[in-house]
Amino acid sequence: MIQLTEKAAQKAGCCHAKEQKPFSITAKELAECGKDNIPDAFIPNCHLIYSSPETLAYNSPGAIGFGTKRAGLVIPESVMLLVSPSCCGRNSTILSQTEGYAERMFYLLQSETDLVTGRHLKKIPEAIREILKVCDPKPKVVLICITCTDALLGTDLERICRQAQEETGVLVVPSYMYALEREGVRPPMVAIRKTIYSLLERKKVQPDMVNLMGFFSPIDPESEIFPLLKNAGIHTINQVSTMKTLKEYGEMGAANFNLVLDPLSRYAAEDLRKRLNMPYVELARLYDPDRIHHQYQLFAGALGIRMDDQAWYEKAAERRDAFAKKYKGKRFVVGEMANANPFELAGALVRMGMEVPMIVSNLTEAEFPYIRQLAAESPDTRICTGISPSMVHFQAPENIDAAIGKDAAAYCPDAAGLEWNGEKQPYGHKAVIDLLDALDQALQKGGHTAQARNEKAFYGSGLRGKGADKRTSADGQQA
Amino acid sequence: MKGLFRYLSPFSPDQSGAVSVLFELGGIIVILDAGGCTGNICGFDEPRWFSKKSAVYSAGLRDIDAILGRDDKLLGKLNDAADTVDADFIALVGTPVPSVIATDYGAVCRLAEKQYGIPAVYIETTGMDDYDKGQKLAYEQILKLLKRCRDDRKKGLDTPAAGLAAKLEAQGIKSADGKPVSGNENAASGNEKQADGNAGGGDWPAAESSLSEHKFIGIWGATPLDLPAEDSAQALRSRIAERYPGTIPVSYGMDSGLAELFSAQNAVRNAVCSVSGLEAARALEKMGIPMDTGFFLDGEEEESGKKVTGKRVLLVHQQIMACSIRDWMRKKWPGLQIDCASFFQMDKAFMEENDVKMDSENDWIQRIKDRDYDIIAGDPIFRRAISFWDGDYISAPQYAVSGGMYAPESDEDYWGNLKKGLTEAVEK
Repeated sequence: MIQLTEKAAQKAGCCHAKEQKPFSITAKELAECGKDNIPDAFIPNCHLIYSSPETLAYNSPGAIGFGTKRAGLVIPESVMLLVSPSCCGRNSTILSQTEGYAERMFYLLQSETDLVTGRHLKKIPEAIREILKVCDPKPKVVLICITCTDALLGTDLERICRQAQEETGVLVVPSYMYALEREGVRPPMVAIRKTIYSLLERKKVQPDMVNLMGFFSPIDPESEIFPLLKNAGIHTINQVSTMKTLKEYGEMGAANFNLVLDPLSRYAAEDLRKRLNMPYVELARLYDPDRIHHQYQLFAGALGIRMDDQAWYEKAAERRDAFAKKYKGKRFVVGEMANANPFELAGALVRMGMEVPMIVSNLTEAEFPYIRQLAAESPDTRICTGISPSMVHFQAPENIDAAIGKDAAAYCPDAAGLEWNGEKQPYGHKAVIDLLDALDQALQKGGHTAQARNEKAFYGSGLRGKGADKRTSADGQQA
Repeated sequence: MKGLFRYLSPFSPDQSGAVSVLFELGGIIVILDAGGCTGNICGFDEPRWFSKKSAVYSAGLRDIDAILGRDDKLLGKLNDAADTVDADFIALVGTPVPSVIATDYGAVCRLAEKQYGIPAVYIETTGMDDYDKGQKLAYEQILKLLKRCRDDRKKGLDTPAAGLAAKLEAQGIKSADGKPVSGNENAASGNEKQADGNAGGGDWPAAESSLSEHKFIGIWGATPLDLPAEDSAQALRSRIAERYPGTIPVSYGMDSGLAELFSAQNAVRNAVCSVSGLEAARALEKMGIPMDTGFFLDGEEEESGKKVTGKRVLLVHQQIMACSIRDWMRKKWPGLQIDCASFFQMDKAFMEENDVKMDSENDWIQRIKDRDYDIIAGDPIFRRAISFWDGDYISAPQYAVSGGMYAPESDEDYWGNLKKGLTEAVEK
């Protein structure tokens, strides 16, 4: 059905036209371009965005766990009212059911008349009242989520929410699924992180309390970060995803500081710093034991505390060395649909003695520190982006032993595939050990290891129990 | 409140319906959105996207594009797709964003056609209507394009449309397994036949059909959003072939491409399996090509069921399928009172006295309260809103409602389970 044109075969540039390959660039070339001269192929606004199953998560982040809507429901005892054209909520029809939050999603569908008159906004308080009637127990928070149409209309959702809160007596929180601002200052997945913490108020500071920010699902409880922090005197470690009630959530306002584990949460942390005078420190998720150890030491030094990760470090290093010995020279493709920064992970694999012929990922200037390191360590690693229109002709590279990431596993069907994008968030030395164990298993068995499916049982209830679980039927009976 | 879903969830929107018609026709499909609509259409409303390669793109619109009206940038973006994919046409699919900023689709298409030498069409969907409306718009626009192709070719013009007509004529019609199919030569040769998107227009001579010859039957309205299972199109073709021996059924847009649609006026008969296909089939009917609807439950004669009277049944699905189920049930249990309902378009010609088109969740709830049904067959999602009702609910999933959540293994499984469920409920 799809055939390459003659013209495409003669296309110049980074694309190897005669071989009809999609756009790609080496790490060395990309580092030389610099963060101020990123090739157009990596800038979504410069071209059509190719739609393939491998890139579904780019257009629909909910497809691999958390998009804006599900993320907002991390606030305990909350429900969400999506006020939008019906198309915006379509994926929630399926995802909310499979992920277990269907009973916490409500939809106020816009018509064309609404767009012209803005009357959909006037309906919000009444819609909230109707929702409250059917929920049992009643939610304490209603998130209102608006989308691109209201972005274009310039809707002042904060004012609408204040008014609705006054009229209904329940907390009403604005949230934005503005795909149009995807590459803007506050893209949707950054904005929703701010929303999640927006209800916190400053409480009396507890010196031994910290909030871990960054993920919508809990960190692996066996990660060493927990005992390390506790041994350093930080006894209460909060994660918003583990809060069961709004009251518990509110206690996060007493934290001494925040630990930001994903740069997408930086904006939310900065908001808490300004609003609540709650400082924050950033720690990256890394897959190199040496660097993890170094990061912990820097962190401890900055705070004037002691973090003795030696035992875990040695264990992770031992595991790394054993893996490196067993699989030296194996070829990996790394994708972005994984619980890892693909460029950082690729660098860690290269330092272990693996080869990484290809990374499939979008990138921004934030990735350039890792790209520069990769350029020094593996200059010929090719980087391509799944959203480039040229990806319609993607062919898997040859002789790939393993692919990490749901997208990479799909791009390389003949390789041992490890999705590594489950809801249990890996972190620290434990993450390295778990990743290498999973890779070891995948390489031995072959086929795809759907980490997401296996680990779903860990948090199988999703957000169930954090909000209104039951609905009453139209005549007042329990659903 | 109208428009508020307290129990139900959004159905497939018009843009998904448009793509469901266009998906296999060999064009570049550009969804004019920021990305989310494309993700929803492809990832949740188009099961073929996971198994069949297609050139579907998002325009990747951003706020600045909307504010500045940068249609020239969109045209530039089409260049990459046009350069790398040998497509028969470009289709622009509308979403809420271009709807709000009043994008001039027609102008963009004209410029694209001029710039890239590929015929271009637009489907002015808004993301705010249901899928069937998008399907109708897509059929209309594609048929208009094909008419333009014929017109230009006939006039000897050197246009992209004329070039496409020549290509499609050379390709000819193939059945789903790739075999060439002869058309209705009597009607095709020397006559000014044109596929016309307008239901009331056209100047086609009457087609002379002969079912004893090796002819084809066109199937309209066959998309994954309307059919029960992945193999349902094939199952439909088998049933139609059984009903009309010697013919080869062709399901337009499913397991067939643009060449087959180009030759629609040569079909000896048309079958319609959802409301969106009615308009085109009726236009062809005026030209003498007869049409039938249904074919979902054809096959061996069913044994008469147990004698049952007084039970009230409601079938909730896309109208053509609901009516097919009703017809089957009436043959088996003549004494039943059976109503059909749908959240999607219902054609008056197929509506009976108590059939109803529902416009809101409240309509659905009220309907169940008012009519005291004993048995309801419909998508499992609908049941969420009527937990107060204690009759027999038989699962009859529709992809446009619940997506792939309840998708059966096969068409045979779907109908087997449905028949079994209905039989148990009716005869208990």
